[in-house]
Amino acid sequence: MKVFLLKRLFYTVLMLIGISIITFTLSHVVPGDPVLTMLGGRGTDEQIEKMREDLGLNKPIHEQYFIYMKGLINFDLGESIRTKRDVTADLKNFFPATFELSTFAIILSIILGIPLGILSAVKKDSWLDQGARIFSLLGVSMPVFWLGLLLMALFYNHLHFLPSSGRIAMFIMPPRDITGLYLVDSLITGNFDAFWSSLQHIILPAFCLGYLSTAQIARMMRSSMLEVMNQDYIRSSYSFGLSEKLIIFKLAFKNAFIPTLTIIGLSYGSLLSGAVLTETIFSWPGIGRYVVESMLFLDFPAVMGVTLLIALVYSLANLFVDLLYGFFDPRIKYDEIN
Amino acid sequence: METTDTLIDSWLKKHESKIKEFKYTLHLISKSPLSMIGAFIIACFLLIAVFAPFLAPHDPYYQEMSARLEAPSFQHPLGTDDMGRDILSRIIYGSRISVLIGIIVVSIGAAIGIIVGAVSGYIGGAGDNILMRIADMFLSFPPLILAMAIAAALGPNLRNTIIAIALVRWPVYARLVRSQVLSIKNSQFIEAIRSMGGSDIRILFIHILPNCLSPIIVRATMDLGTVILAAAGLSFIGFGAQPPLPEWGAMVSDGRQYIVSEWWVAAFPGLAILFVVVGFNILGDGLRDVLDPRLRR
Amino acid sequence: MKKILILLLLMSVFVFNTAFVGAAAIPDDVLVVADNFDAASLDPAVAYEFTSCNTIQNVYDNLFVIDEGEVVPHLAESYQISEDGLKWTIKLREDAEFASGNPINAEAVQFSLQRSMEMGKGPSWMLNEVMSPESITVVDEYTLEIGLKFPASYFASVLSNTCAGIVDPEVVMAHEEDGDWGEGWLNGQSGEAASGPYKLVTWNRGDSIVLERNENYWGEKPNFRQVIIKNVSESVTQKMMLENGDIDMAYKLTPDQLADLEANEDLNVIKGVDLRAYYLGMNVSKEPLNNLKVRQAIKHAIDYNAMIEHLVRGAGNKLEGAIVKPLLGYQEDMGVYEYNPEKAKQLLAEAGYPDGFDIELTGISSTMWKQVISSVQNDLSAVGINAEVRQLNAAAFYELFRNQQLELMLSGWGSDYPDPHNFIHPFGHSEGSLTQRVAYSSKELDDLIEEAAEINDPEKRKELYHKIDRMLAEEGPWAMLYQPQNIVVLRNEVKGYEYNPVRIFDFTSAYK
Repeated sequence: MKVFLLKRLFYTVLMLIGISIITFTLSHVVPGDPVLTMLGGRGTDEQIEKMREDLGLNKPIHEQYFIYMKGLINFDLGESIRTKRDVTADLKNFFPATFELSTFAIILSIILGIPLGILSAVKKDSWLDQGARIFSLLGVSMPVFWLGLLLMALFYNHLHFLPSSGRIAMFIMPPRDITGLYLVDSLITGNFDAFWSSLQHIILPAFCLGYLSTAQIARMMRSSMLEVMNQDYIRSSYSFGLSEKLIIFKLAFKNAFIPTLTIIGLSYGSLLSGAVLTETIFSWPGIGRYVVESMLFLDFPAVMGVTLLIALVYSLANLFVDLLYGFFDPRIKYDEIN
Repeated sequence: METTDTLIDSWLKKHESKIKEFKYTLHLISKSPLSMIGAFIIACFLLIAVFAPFLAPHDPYYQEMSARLEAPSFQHPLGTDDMGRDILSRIIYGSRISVLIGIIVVSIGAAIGIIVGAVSGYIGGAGDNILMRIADMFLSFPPLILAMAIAAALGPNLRNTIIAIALVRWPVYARLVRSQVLSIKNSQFIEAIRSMGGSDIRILFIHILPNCLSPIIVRATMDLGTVILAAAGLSFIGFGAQPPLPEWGAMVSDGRQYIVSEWWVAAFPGLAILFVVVGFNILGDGLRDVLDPRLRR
Repeated sequence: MKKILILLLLMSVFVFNTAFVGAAAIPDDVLVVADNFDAASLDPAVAYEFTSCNTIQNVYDNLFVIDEGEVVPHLAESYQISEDGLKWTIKLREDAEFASGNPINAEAVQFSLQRSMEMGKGPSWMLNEVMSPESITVVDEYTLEIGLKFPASYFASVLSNTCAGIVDPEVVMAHEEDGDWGEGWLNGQSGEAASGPYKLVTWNRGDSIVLERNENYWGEKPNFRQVIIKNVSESVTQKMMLENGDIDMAYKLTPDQLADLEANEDLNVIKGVDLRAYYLGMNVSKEPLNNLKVRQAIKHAIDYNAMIEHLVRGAGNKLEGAIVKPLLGYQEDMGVYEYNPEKAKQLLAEAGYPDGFDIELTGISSTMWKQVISSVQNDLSAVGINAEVRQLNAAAFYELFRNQQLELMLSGWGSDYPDPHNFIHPFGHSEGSLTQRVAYSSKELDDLIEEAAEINDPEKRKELYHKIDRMLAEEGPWAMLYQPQNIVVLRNEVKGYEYNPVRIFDFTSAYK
């Protein structure tokens, strides 16, 4: 177990270094000069030279990379060119919003996807199964940005059901900042107005973002349930007269859940980066929008910061999933896994 | 004449079992309603792409400034966009862009992935470890962000969109092929060939890879949908196809400010994306059911 | 299994049906406005984007402000200009205080101007162009003397820019960190440093800015206790929120939404002049744009009126010269060039390009520019000029622009300070911010532009600007497309708002 964890952490660090090199190189071969964007085409040559110097943009690229990595060791991600403040501060500002949105989305997709998949498998070929399969098929085929537009037009503009943008209603003060997650903070501080408002604000974007993973989870759950239920030990359980409930939940589910768990882990990573599109549509103040704007500005310290952070969360999520395998299947021995 | 016939005959004889297998597969596919629906959608889509100039009622680039944002009518069945262009014609021509992106990206991605995966799985050891770590790195890279960075670095256009997405997709194939190679590599059948003195390259390309073909085909079919979605997403946020190209994602993006009032500008291109991706996914599902030996009972 | 389903159903019904509390009415002493944020800094010495400058005009007062197109003293009570135009003596009002209670005196003004110049950030060039930090001297508690590098007659107008906004030296320097001149602090809860009608309470990056009334402000006190500026990036969302009453005002609506907005009886639509010019630039160092006839042909090829009428639904003014409405020297109908494709073709033939030519047309990527670019591309192709469109991100665009690597380019120029010099110099002078990017230079124009900058008599100045503008229209490297209008839409509950093109976030007179 220990060896496994250490090995995984070592690989994660290696991977982050690789990613940092790729992103750094990419952002530095980009034609364009962020200083000129800041000035919108104005300014004198001396002023531009001075601003470049202030930002350290006139050093050779490998030197800039080492300076960056030196900072990174001290958790200093440099200063954003666009927002003119520490990237760490920006990330602290925007990441909780994205984290809340994607976590809510993955929870929503687990709550919806797993029962859907099980039902679909248990009642194979019934109308329910057909409906669930169509729902999942649309989910894996739907352009997220298009779905977002439709949801907003329908629920906000036509039905006046749900708000369309931001994290909380304007006149409800956001809860005191403890975790940065409005839903959690408002519960901790017992601020129920804030809780309701944030809940209503998160539903549309979270559903939009999570539809794809809901569908993937449901599909995976269905097919692995079907596979498990076809196996001999389940058939013989039936013949022993065990109740259907017991068979489905105790025996079949536990075994069928492992492949689904992998999908959940993978989905979580893609949710974080899928947030780029969802946040743009729902004016959600998270890192997705932050990274798009930074990219347009060629603000590479910001782009680097976001990329590294997402990659880190992604690997941690997958590590967590790997650890969960053991919980569902005690036969797994970690030190044998590569 | 006779010689060719004998050639063909001997070829047929040699590959008799494989041809039988292939015929059986085709038979299974044609018996699977799911695959047929998918195949039908994709066939329509391909036909539209090929015959776009004959099907489009208008020039997809022709702007009529005085006819901006017109509702669907007899003359413009799906309305006009923000530049007064016929949306139906643009969707029809846009299918060509989507086919192009889908096919090229999947071919590049699969080609890189197959080579890396096959080599990695076959050589094993440290080389395998390094290659797979690299693949993992690309997998854990936030895909849209990597694609955005590449598009920003190389300049936003169709070619770079293709490169960007292909770079994000190849590890999927690499892992798939590697696991297949691993499972076949140590089988008795390969052992036998090796003991008869077959070279590594020969074993890999003649004996191992063809046996991995079906999962690759299934994966690639489903991937075509994913790739089309990814390209549309990139264009939507402005890192993909450039105006005035009728790329579907870019068309949705053009229409997003009109979603409430002139809904047709964004709705129809989005629907087109949905249809095609649904088509590839159904076809992929169907093919998997047919080709996956575990499900073939 | 059924239980789970029922639970899920119940949950969703509950969530969807608890009345949507977002729609709680906005209190009467609060104003909520929506904008598409580009704010990068709320420090007056650094801010150089629309949202941030518009916002902090409310927070940091200026020596001069623009009122109904006129530059008038504000924190300054009176001023004198020396005979040679090189020395300005400015007397301040004595009753003005910062939110902190400290007096706004000559030292504070000196500090604020020097701070902007020394920091050398985005907007500093306009101050550094006319003066140096050392040339500001304190005469007595409420009097200043400023020496200029040349007799710039538009100096008062420069002092009305946000980068000449006055901050409280004591509080700002008390919060200085690592020699940042207090910049970090000014981006947050920096209410104390305010000299204007509002103070900055919170800035939730990318989400909202909250301003609160400055009770220490010397002038007319605003009616709203609080102003919330909310980031809503999609125009369609702004429109929906406005219609639902979730916001009071919106600033980033598009001309295509005008018909709907104007038909809505709850809303009041203002189309105000925007001190901006959209232009098509032609790089004269590139073949065949170095040919005057080709440039004239391009100017004749573009259907300006169609663009104004159909693309922006009338929310734009025709422009031929570089000076925009309502600045001194603006001319309604110059009659130098108009849409005439036949003439364009003829000019092309005369220039030796009867079949047109291929060229690159570059712009910045955004939906708005995409529409303009497609429209220009279409017009050019009608006379045989085959333009290949490239839309780049701003950073890449400006880099190529700066290195004179663009052929045809589309962009806009917005005023830094409302004076014709701020348009004529960049568009006409060989060292101007735009002119040098298209390699255009004319000694005659340079001399005239320098002369005009130093004239104090408005009538004489106007005459000279007419002449310069006409020369530019005839020979210059620009096809001026149009001057856009600002679309500001308010709910009827908000009354008394007066549109001021250089202070569009001025809410002092508005009330509910």
